[in-house]
Parts: sequence; C-alpha cells; structure tokens
Amino acid sequence: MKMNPLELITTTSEQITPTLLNYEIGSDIESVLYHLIKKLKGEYEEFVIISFQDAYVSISKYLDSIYKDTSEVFKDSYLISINPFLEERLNPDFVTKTKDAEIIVGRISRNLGIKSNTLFLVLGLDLYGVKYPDELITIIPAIVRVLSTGKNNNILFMFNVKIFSDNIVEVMNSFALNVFKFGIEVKGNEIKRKLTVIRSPLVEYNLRSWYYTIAPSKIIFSSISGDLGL
Amino acid sequence: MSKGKEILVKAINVALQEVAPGLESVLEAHLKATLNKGFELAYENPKEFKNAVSKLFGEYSARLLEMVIINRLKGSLGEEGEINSLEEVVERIRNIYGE
Repeated sequence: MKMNPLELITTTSEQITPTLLNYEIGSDIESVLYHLIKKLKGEYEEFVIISFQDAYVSISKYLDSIYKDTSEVFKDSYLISINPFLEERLNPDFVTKTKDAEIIVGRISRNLGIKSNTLFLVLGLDLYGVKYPDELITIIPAIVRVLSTGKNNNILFMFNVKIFSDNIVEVMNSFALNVFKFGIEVKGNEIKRKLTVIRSPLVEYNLRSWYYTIAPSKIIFSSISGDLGL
Repeated sequence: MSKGKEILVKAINVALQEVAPGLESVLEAHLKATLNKGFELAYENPKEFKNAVSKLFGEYSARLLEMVIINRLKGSLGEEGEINSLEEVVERIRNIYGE
C-alpha cells in the first residue's frame, strides 16, 4: 500500500513513540507541524505543548501569517512554557523559569501527573540546548521518561540535530523510535526541501526520500527514490 | 569595515556554516535583493536583520540562528550578565570597541 509521507508520519507516530522531527533551517518545519497537528489532534483526548524559550509563540506567529485557521488547529491545547519571555502574553497554563534540567522535568511531571491518550508536542528543546548545552544530555531522557509514563501517548519532538555535538545526536537518536529528517538542498539561490524517513516501524519506507513544497492547503510530495511518490 | 562589524559578520558566517551550510548565499541574496545590504546589516540594524531572516526562514529558525551567533560570541563579550538578543550583542561589541 502506498502511503502519503505525511500519513506515514501520523500513522507511525501513533504506533510507536517518541517521534523525532529532525529539521534543518529552511525546511519550513512549521508548516509540516501545522499539518501533522491538524491530522493528529482529533485522535487524542488531550493536546499538550511543551515550549522552551518562546518556541511556541514564534511558531504560531509564523503559522498565523500563512494559515487562517492556526488558532483553531492549536486551540484547547495545554501550554507549558519553559523560560518564556514573549510567550507569557499567551497566558500559558504552566510556567517555569530555570535552566536546571532536573527541576524543569520535575515540575512538568508534578504539573501534568500521568497523562494517557495525550498528544505531546515538544518545541524549542534545541533553543534551550544552544543556551544551556550541558543540560541537554539530562533533559532529553528525563522528559521522554515522564511523557511516556501514561498509555497511548504520542510524543513529537521538533529538534535541529545538526547544530549539536555527536553525543547529543546519539542521545536524541537513541530515544526516538521514529526519526524523520526534514532537510534542504541548495542549488544557487534555490532551496529544495527534502523529507527522508530515517527510522520507522514501516521498514519498507525507511531511507526513502521525497522532495516537498508547501502549497496553501497541503504539502505536495514528489518521490526521489523508488516509486512511492504521491 | 569597523572592528566590531568585522567580528559580528565573521560570527554570522561561522554560525550559518554550522546551522545552515549552503544557506549563506541564499540569505546574502535575500538581504541584497530586499534591503541592498549584506551581513553587516546585523551590526548596523540588528532588528532589521532579524526581521529579514524571519521573513526568509521563519521566526523560529531566525531565533535559533540568533542564539547560535550569541553562543559563538559569548566567550569574547565578557562575563557581565546574560545576553539574550542580537541587539544586546551589538551593544556589548560597541561598548568594548568604543564604536
């Protein structure tokens, strides 16, 4: 069965979790997130956004400028803001300000309790990691452990792996069960966006790649390798 | 080019090579086409530079790039307080070099 790459991500993220959306600058990952959340949100009882360093406010501002229904897609989410500055104007449901990874995860855990049937979106962990590199190696496994405690949860991490050292990349890759890479290819002044399935339970799709373009209402994929393009 | 401007432009080049190799030329072309400027705009008008980067790559990626630039420079900007924005970087460089 041929599967649209976006459908592939939603399907596999529902099967096993966490899912790492490893993006590069220029890949328009915000639009990918918008479409993923639009498809996935209705499948879960709750939707929790964990936003480090104002990540959510940056992303929603960008999406607002592109899509009319951004607030509808993200409405009813439970927003946890870690080290916010601008994001406080969105009235987050829970705010914590500290660089200490163990304290952050402890407070998230205490605030959320054990959630089941919940879609988690973790944003800005890379922003946090650039600012506090020594904390990243602690926070990644700890946050995965806390969010995975309940049943039937779906955890999506948006993270730019490229800017970190190999040990961080290894930690991130070892905790993510699905890994999708949103990269770019630059030819002159033109950017081509490229999705590659690095790891997923649908092994026949692993290492397949597609170029993609963002259209107003959808993402258009074209196959690079094999015949799975849709 | 002033010393401070030179330091910042170099840091931007290094940050772009780390974060987004291949995109230097795209960003340079965008700045040239829209504002008739190069990376020196970051020193002359950091807010306008950030807006231009946001328009091209999105606000999130612009913030990531900003933080990488800050990170690359923080060792040479003294120990006083935390730096959170490109504007603060420029102010600190101007103070150090008296520009």
